[in-house]
Amino acid sequence: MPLDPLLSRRALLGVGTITLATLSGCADDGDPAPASAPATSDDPDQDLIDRVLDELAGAEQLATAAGVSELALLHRTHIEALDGTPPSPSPGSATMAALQRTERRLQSQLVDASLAAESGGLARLLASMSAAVSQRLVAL
Amino acid sequence: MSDVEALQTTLAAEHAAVYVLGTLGGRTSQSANVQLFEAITAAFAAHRVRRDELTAAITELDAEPVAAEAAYDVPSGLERAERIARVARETEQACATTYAWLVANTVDERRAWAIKALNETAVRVLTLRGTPEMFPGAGEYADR
Repeated sequence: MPLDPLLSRRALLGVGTITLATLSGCADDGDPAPASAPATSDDPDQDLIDRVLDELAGAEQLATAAGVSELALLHRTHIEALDGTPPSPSPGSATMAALQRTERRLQSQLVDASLAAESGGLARLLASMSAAVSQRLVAL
Repeated sequence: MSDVEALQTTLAAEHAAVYVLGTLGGRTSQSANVQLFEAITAAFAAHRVRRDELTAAITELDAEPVAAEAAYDVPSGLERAERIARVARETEQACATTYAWLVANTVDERRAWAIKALNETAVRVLTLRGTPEMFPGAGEYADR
């Protein structure tokens, strides 16, 4: 039985249960979100995924070089969610200004990628990633 | 799912969020908890704008926007500021989940609207004593 994917009166009976109810409902969207992005040659989103993975890898390396480990972890987690492989650590350094520029560009690219995605599930994942970067930008 | 159905679902969530945040604002001391009061007031205003935008979008599609219910059940125990902040955060996080769902169920202009709303609500969580998340609105990815 599908649940309402919304902050409904019923859900508000206990706010602690909202997320579960909402997520359950959202899985019944007619375009099931994949647990991860499929990586087949027939996937019309594969080029887009590859470009996003390149950007995430670059951002991860810069965050590592700048010593912002929590941000680097975020990017590695996002890479893994797209079934990518995080880059190997490489020596280097980066300024906070460079990091901020990179993160702002990445956030914008994730928004663009979400808009361009053929798969609704992938679009949702990329939009979520953009929001996570937006949260980190507040503190940078 | 049609655009109208997706937008109606999101509008229903906005109605609930506006009600809950309005209630939370009324329970928050403006003098004793200045930052929390301002954060909830800003969230309330933002969701009213989103509600009105959704109403307009649905009307443009020649559909009747879903109406708000007369009242919504709000969690109890709102005597403490920390509890109020938590309920406000959870309301924003529930909205984030709904916006992310809308992203998956729309394209083009309406998907852009949903992405923007998701980003803004994720940032508002931080103003409500929240912490950054790995996947705002799509928390199941964090559990993998």
